[in-house]
Formats: sequence, structure tokens, C-alpha cells
Amino acid sequence: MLMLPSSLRRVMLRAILRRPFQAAMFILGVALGVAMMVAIDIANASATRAFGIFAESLTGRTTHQIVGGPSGVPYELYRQLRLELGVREAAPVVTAYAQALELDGQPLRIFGIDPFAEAPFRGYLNLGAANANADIASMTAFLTQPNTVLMAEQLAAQYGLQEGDTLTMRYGPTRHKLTIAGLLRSSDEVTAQGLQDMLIADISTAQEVLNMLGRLTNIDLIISETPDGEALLARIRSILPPGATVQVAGARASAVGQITAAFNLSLTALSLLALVVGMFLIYNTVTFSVVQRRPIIGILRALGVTRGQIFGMVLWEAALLAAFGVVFGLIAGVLMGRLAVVIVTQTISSLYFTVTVRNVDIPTLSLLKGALIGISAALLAALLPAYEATNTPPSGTLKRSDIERKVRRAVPLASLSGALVVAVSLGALSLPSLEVNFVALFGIVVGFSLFTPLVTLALMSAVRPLGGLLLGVLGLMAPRSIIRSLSRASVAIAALMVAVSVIVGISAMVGSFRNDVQGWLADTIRADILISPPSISAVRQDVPVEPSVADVVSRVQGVVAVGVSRSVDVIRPNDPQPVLLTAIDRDTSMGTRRLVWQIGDYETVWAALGEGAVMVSETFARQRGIPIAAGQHITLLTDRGEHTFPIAAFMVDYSGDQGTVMMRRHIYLQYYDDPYISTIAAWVAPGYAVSDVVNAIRAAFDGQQELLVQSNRDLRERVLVVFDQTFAITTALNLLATVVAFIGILSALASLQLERTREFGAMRANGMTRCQLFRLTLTETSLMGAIAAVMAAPVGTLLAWVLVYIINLRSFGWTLTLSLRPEFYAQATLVALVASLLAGVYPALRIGQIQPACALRLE
Amino acid sequence: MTRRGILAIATGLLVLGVAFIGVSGLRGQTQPEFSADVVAALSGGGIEGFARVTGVKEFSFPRDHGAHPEYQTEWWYNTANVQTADGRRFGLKFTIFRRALTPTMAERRSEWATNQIYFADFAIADIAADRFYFKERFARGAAGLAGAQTEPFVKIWIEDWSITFDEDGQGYRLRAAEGDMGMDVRLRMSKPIVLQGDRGFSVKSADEGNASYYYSFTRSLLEGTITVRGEQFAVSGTAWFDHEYSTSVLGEDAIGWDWFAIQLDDQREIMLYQIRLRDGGIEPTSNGTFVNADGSTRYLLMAQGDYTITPLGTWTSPRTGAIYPHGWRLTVNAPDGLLELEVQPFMRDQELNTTTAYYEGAARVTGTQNGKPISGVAYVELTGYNVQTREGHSR
Repeated sequence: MLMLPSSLRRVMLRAILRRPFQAAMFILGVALGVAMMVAIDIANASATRAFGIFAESLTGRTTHQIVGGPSGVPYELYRQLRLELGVREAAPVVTAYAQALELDGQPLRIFGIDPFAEAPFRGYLNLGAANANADIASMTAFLTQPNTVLMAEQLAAQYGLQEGDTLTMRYGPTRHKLTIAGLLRSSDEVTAQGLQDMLIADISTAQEVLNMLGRLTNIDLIISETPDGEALLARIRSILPPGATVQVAGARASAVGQITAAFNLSLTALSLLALVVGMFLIYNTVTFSVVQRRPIIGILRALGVTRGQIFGMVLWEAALLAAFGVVFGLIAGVLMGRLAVVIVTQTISSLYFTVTVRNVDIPTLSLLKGALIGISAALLAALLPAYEATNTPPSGTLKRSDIERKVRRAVPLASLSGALVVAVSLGALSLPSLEVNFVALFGIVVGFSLFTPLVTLALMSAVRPLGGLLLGVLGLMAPRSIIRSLSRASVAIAALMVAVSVIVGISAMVGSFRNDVQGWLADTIRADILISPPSISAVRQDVPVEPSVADVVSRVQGVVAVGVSRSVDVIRPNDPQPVLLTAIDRDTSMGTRRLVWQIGDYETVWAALGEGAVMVSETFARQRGIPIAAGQHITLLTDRGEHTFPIAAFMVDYSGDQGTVMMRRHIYLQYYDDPYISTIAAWVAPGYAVSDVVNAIRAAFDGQQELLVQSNRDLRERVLVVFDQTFAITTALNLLATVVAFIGILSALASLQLERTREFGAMRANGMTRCQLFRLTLTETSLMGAIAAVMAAPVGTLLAWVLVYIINLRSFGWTLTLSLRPEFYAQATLVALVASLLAGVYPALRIGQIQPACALRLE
Repeated sequence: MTRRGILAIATGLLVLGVAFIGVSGLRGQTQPEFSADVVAALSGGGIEGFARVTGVKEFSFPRDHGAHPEYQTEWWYNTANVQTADGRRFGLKFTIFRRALTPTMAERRSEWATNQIYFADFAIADIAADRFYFKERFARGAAGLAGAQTEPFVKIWIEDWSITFDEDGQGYRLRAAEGDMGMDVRLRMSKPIVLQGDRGFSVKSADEGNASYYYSFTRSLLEGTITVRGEQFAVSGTAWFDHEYSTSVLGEDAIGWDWFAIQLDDQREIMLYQIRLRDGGIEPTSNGTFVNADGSTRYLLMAQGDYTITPLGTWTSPRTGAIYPHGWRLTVNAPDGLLELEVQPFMRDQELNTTTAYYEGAARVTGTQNGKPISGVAYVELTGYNVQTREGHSR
């Protein structure tokens, strides 16, 4: 950018200092946008990194993993590897999450290992020779005593636990008292963080606690990338039982990255929204300051300052203020980030995988990105006003009216370019890239905002006669005055319109989603009572429960029928992401399940399932590229080897965004050696009250099984609670965008009204009362709010449509039905009106205090 | 008899050490430096509840070839002097150790649960090349990974290393291989089993219970293949096998021992050892066994002057810095006259720098008896010298 002579620099600084309110508004606009972006970035990065570290500490130097189906890998395979193939770098692992009841129910990964095989794989502890004595004792206990674990020193300290203390771990329906045999001091940051979420157990203990007798979760391998390594891998593959396969380690961890990519992207897009709104604010402020300084700029030009220097001065001014804004924004962003991390990880944990973030990372990259985008946005927003400033003739006689005239002339141009932007954006929606779709979404918003001057003109002209009828002179004056200050008014209206339409769009999207989930729940779960073990994740139930529990339920008086389901992760060959497979023996939907494609009527589908076909959720099909059409198949690795199952139907399923494959239980048992169940559904006989039967089942379990027994209604309510939690972050961001918009309109109106001080002075001098002036101001701002609301309704609807049918479908694969309810619009209109009214109060009060003499003295 | 008492105890502790390393991810880059205090603390205490060796017992084979998990420590020890058809000499050593972490086990459902830990090492001394190689491993005595069975045949194993007895009980096979080193050799016992000490009851110190059950195959004829740095050699020679188990053997003031297993060319064998004490003295119960060509034995007690051991020189390990004696003059009161022997290792460096560093070396034996020249081979085991060197004890 151009260098400024020192004289101009002083002019610039003086200008800023003379108008602290506007400078503050500018800084606020930048700061809020930057803060939101940084906060979301921090939250995303922290969650991703926490998972990365955790995965790393679990994987260690493992290159390959032998994994199996739901029942894991038989332990004999490990012995075979060691004894028959002479594989040295192999380590057995038995692991799962359990809840630590004394630790506020926090999920901890019980990680069962064989210490004698671990050395090449993972680095957990750094037991110095200094306390070797104590360590030998704890190691003996760890190896030989049942229910003993090692725990990170930091975690223990956090909860005031010591060696010898016990922890109650809840895994599915059972509780286990585990004794801390020793504390682990980690040697480096990565292991320290990884260990924070873990209890290390001997493999025997892990098997007993996690109900994995005779089985391993996986066998870790280190295999070099050499011909020898390849040969070894081939030998290992040749002895694998049918249900097991060798995967490259870290494949699952990187799949996790893909899983959350769409989620992260939508959050980022939402956070950028604040910046877009902020840009309106910046544009407004800069324009205002340029207009106010026209005389000065004129004089400067007369004194020989070039256009380029004027242009530079305005941009420098913007850059300087933006820099302040960025600093505040970064600080606020980091503070807000800590809060956002909590919300984001909660959502990730309930939807995708358990992750606990202890250390909030503040990545330099996020800060740099925030700063760069903040300053760029400010400069971009200041570009137009800066250019306008250069057009000031040296005489400096250009009046407000001149600009307004120019703006009026520019209205068709703005509308035309708006139409163009909207058209291009709509076109871009058909491109398959999610990033492009989000940009297009912004394009639509911005494009429509360019219509604001036109709509304002049209509406105000139309409303004038009506205003005159209702409010008399004031009703005539207010629309006129908005038209007269179109350049500023339309920017403020646009900012408000954007915020409000986003509110409409997002609430319509979330509302539609919620509506569909509710309907789906009602259709899918038609059993009266649902029984499941307490689970860490909201969307999956994969803790093994003894099938005999179902018999206990069926013997309870009042239970007429019982159905069981089993949800497990299975492997799809050549797919790094596990597949959630649900096996059911009785359909809880009782034939009302929503299907998007099916081979025939429900009976036909159910019969086909009985013959070995499967149902696949729509989300699953979309994410794994399976066309929703006839003749599709899915190949799964079963305990009998790879098997291809025909797909009999594609179903609607909102239970998780990874999708599921459903088969009937007898088919499942045929292909998988896994007798366990995950959840139980029960139907109540006529004449019995559901609540009584619920209590009877609870009583039957009492003391033996810790299972959640819920009535259908309770379950539905609980699912909706989870749903709302999931969208908590969306709502929060939405609210923040509204706050930004509110500040935007406040600043715009304040500037606008304060600019007209002399005008108001003249009015007052001509006999207008304070009260009338107050009413005039508020009428004006309310009118502006109304324009924003009127515009926001169609734009918001369009946004909702794009979010539901394009963004959501592409991100997650759910087809939702857009349901528009009047309350979304009412709510948005209310927000617009209240915001504009509130924003008008301060300027109105200030104007009310104008001393006509003072104001006119300036004339 | 007493010989590997400390070794076993120290190594037993170090099993745990290795377990830590396992968990600690030191990744074997550094050897854990367990202090002598730790060894002392654990060799003294920690035996409560274990079965003790307090008197003579009746051995029953093949059952007693198997494990005795009620005792804390047990090992199956093989050494052999072998050569190729064209006379290239090698020394072989392969031992499987067992250590019980606790005297009893809680009832457990997991097949991985155990209080028994196995560890093993094997070494090959390539005498012509003056190179010494060794490997070591650890495993739990569960899930089929390691153990000792007697039915349907005797087999002691740790993963794919094993000592497998022939069904007739008169022969056995040693298999151990890792990387480019390995041995797969078959052996036949050429002499009856020798029960060491008093009918297999081997007293190690004056305190009751400081003793072991100990028997040997003093001369097994070996044939098989060894692999040294990827190169295979067909070898034959003579081997020595010890099986010993105990709960505590050494007194508190013991620091290490020097142990000799000598096979004379005239079909006679001698086992003798001395336990060195911290004060520079020798444990008075140090003893040996003289095995006649017909398999009959004679008990040797060092304190009675039945034998003497005089070091001739020293060798300093470049790795551990331990200063070992090197070359000995031995006198042994054989039934048919005094044996004067000189034992010289075939090569200097035969130190196993495993979790516990010790010396286990093939040696040449020369000497005279009643004016006639005598020759043979031997294996010499030296323990405790790393600690001794570090602490600067006398002797």
C-alpha cells in the first residue's frame, strides 16, 4: 500500500481520535468477526488434535493392526503369530471405554496390554530407577492381581487419587471396582495427554472387565516396508481366521478426520457469517467517516494531495482500526474458544467418537488466519468508500445530496449485480464441492443484500401514503428521510437482513431436522419399553449385554413380546471406516419404517431380510457411494469370510450420521460369532400400564444389571435432548451473528442520526417537539427493521432450502423435508424489529437533547 | 546346585524390570540399572508363602522335568561345546527361566492371567571368528505363550524357543532362533541323571530353606544345526543340562558366584562353584560333584579342601566395564588322585549383556592327574562382577 506523508498520517490519526464512537464500532465489527472465527477454529483444532494425540498414543509405532469383527480377534491367533510364525513385533490389545463413576462419570479408555510385548510399540511411562523399588511392587500387583490398573499421575492428582485407591468403572450393565496399582509419570507431552484418558490394565484384567475372554480387540504389528516385511505380512494373512483382516494402522484415525470434516466445515462457515455481517459494519463506518470528512478531503486535494494518497489514507485508517479490532478479536476468540471447545467436543462425542479435550490448543495458524482474514475483510469493506473519497473534487463542495444522487443512480447497477451474484451462486450449488456450496451460500446472502437499496426505495415510496395516514407528518417524513439517506440506511438494513435471514434459514433447517427426527422416532420405535445399558455415546450402543437379560425381561408380567438388537462395528473390505451393523430379531417399527427405496412392500422387504438381504441407511449409501437403486449389494467381512449381501431397502435413519446397515438377527448369528445383544425392546400387553411394567422390569434387574429401562415416550424425549445438544453450537453461533448484526444496526443508525444533527436542529428550531423528534427517529429505525424483516423472509427461506436440500444432504447424507413454520418468520421479524427499535433508542435520546441553537450554530 | 541363585533372583527381578520397560517404552535402548539394594531387598524378602526347599525329596521323572510353580525360581539350563566336521568350534548356551511373582493366584477367568513369568536367553560363541552373539526374551506363562508341560511329553517353551524331550525321556531337542541366529540341535543323554548335592537337595547356605532341588545331565551327545549370522553349520559335541528350582538360595552377604561344568575327555565330569561374599570371603557351603565315567558321583565340599579355584588373569568387559577373572587353576580331589587343571576360555568376550549382565563362556581344560595329561572342555559362569566392579569390593 502507499506510504503516507507524515502530515497526512496526522490528519488520519486526528480524524480517528475525533470520532471515538465510530472507531469503536469499526473495531467491534472486526473484533467480533475475528473472535468468532478464531473461537471455532480453536475448538475444531483442539478436538481434532486431542483425537490425534489420543490415536497416536494408542497406536504408538504400530504399522499394521489385525482387527476382527464384533467379537474381535481370537487370542489363539496371537499365540500362533508368536509360536508358529515367530513374529516378534506383535502386541495384543483389549480395549474399550468405560465410565469412571468417581471421576464425574468421565469416560476412560481401559487399555489392556501385555507388558512383555509392549516395548517396541508404545511409550507410556518413564519409571526411573530412583523409585524402582515401589514400581516393582506395583508391577507385581498389576500383573497378578485381578482388577488392577495403572493411571496417569496427573489424572490421579486431579481427582485426589492415590496408589491403592479404587475406582468404580461402569462398563455397560456392570460395575467394576478397579484398584490403582501404580501411577504413571509420562515422559513427554504426547503421552501425557494420551494417558489422561486411559487406564492401563494387564490384558487379563481388561479381558475380564470388558467381557472379552478369549478374544482380543486387535493385535498390533510393526512390519517394515521391505520385501521381508511384505513376505511376513503375506504369511500373517495366510493364517488369519475368516473374520480377521490386517489394516494399516492409523487408517481408522485418518478416517475419523474425514468423518468430522463436514461437521468442522459447517462450523467454520457459520463462524465466517459473523465476519460477513461485520463487513457491513465496517463498510458503514468507513463510508460515514469519509462522507463527514469531505470538506477536509477537498481542502487536502486543493493543497495538492493526490487521489492516490487520499485512497491510501482511507485504507490505512481502515487497516489501523482493523489491527486494533484484530487484537481484541484474537483475545476474545481465544477466550470464547475455550467455551466453544466444550460445546464442540460434546457434540463430537455424542455423534462420532469419544474425545476429551483437556488442553485447549491455540494454534498459531488459527491466529494468523484470523488476523489476516480480519484485516482483509476490513480493507475490502473500506475499498469502495476509499475510492469514493478520491472522487471528492478539490473544492470540497460536494454535498451529501450529491452522494445520495449518485447512490440513487447506482441502485439499478447494485440490483443487477446482486441478481448476477445470486444467479452465479445458485449455479455453484450444483457443484459437488462442499466448500464451494458454502461460498455459494454466502454469495446468495450477499447477492440479495445488494437488492436492499431497490427494495428500500420501493417499500418506502409505497409506505409513505400509508404512513401519512397513520402518523401524519411524521409518517410522511420518516420514509422520505430513509430514502434521502439511502447510502447509509441500506447498508444497515442489509446487515440486519443478512443476520435475520440466517436466523430464518438455520431455524428452519434445524426445525425441519427436528421434525423429521421426531417423525422418524415415532415411526421406527413403536415398542413400548426400551432397555439399554448406560452408554457413553448418544448414537451407539455397542456394549455387549448377555442375551439372557432378554429372557429376564420376557418373564416380567405384562410383557407380551420382546425384541433384541445388537449394534456392532464390522469391517467392509477396503474401507478404512468401520460399518455400524445392527441386527434385529423383531422390527420395533412394526412395519412403519420409512424407506426411500425398497424392493416391494414391507412384508417383502422383511422376508428378503430373513433370507439374508440387508437394509442400508440412506446416509450410509450416500457416504460410501452406493447408488440408491435396485440391484445393489454390500460386502462385509464376516466371521465366515467376506460375504456379499443384497440390499433390499434403503431406509431413513437419523441415529447417527455415519449410517447403518441392518440385518436380521438369525442371519447375523449365522455370519458372526457374537452371541451378545445391545438393546432390548419390549411390548406391553393390553391392560397393563407401561409405567408399571417399566418398574417391574427395573425390579427384575435390581442389583444385577445396571440397565436403562425407558418407556417409549421417555426415550423419544431423551433423543430430542441429544438432538438439541447437538445443535447447541449452531444456535450459539446463530445468536452471536445476531448480536453482531444488532451492533451493526446500532452503529449505522447512530451514525446516521448523529450525522443529521443540524437537520434536527433546524426541525427543532421550526417547532418540532422533542417527543416528535423521538418518535420520528424510532419510526425511521423501525421502518428499517421492517424492511430487513420483509427481505429476510424470502432470503431466509431460500437459505433454509439450500441448507436442507444441498448442504445437509451433501455433508451428512440425510434427506430432510423442509418444514416452514410461521413461528420461524415471526421470530425473525421480532428480532429485526426489536433490534432496530433498540438501536434507535440511543440516537433518539441523543437527538432529543439537541439544543437547536448549538446545532444551528454550525450552519 | 547353588550356582545361578543370584542370577535367577536378580534376573527374576529384572523380568519385572523388563515388564516396566515394556510399559515404559524405554525400548531397550538403555539397560535398566537396578541397584544392588533392590536385588538385596527382594532376594531377602518377598518369599513368604512360597514352598521352600528344606530337605531331601524323591524325584520322579518325567514329572519333575516340568515346572514347580509353588517355588519362586526355576530354570532349565543348557550349555554345549560343539564343532563342525572340519573342527570349527562353537560354544552354545540356552536357558529358560521361570519366576513366580506371587506364591498363589486368585481365581481368574482370563487365560492370560498368571503369576508365572518365563524368560530365556541363548548365546552362540563363534570361537574361530572371536564373535559372541546372544538373544533374550520374556513372556507370561499363560495363553500358551510360555510354560512347561510333562504330558504327553516334556516340553519347556517360551514362544518359539523350546526344550522338547523325546518320548523315551533319554533325549531332547533344543530350538531357539531369532533374526539371523539360531540353533536346532538334538541331544541324547550318555550318562544317568546326576542328582546334585545330597540326592538332589543342594544346600546353598547355613540358613534353612536356602537350598534348591538340582539335577543334571552331565554329558549329552549333541548333533544338529546352528545358524550364525545367517550361515548354517552342522555341528556335534557334548552338552550339559541342569534343572534347578528353589525359593531362596543365597545368603544376604553373597555378591556372585563362579561356576564350572567340566567334561573331561575320559568321560568324567566335574561341577563345582564358589559363592563369593561381600567381605571377600567364600560361602562355606560352596560345593561340587565329581562324576565318574560309570556315572557314580562323589560330593565335593570346598571348605574341606576338596577343590581350590585360583584365577590367573582378568578381562574387562568393554560394555559393562565389569572386570571378570579370566583363566583359572583348579585342583580337585578326585577319588583316584588329585586333578590339577587349567581352565582357559576359548575366547575372551563371552559376556551376555542381557537384562542381567553375566559371563557364560566355553572353555578349554588341560591338566594332569597322577602325572598323566588330561584334557577336556568346560563352561564357566561368572556372576555379580558388574556390581562388584562398580562397588569396588575386594577380590
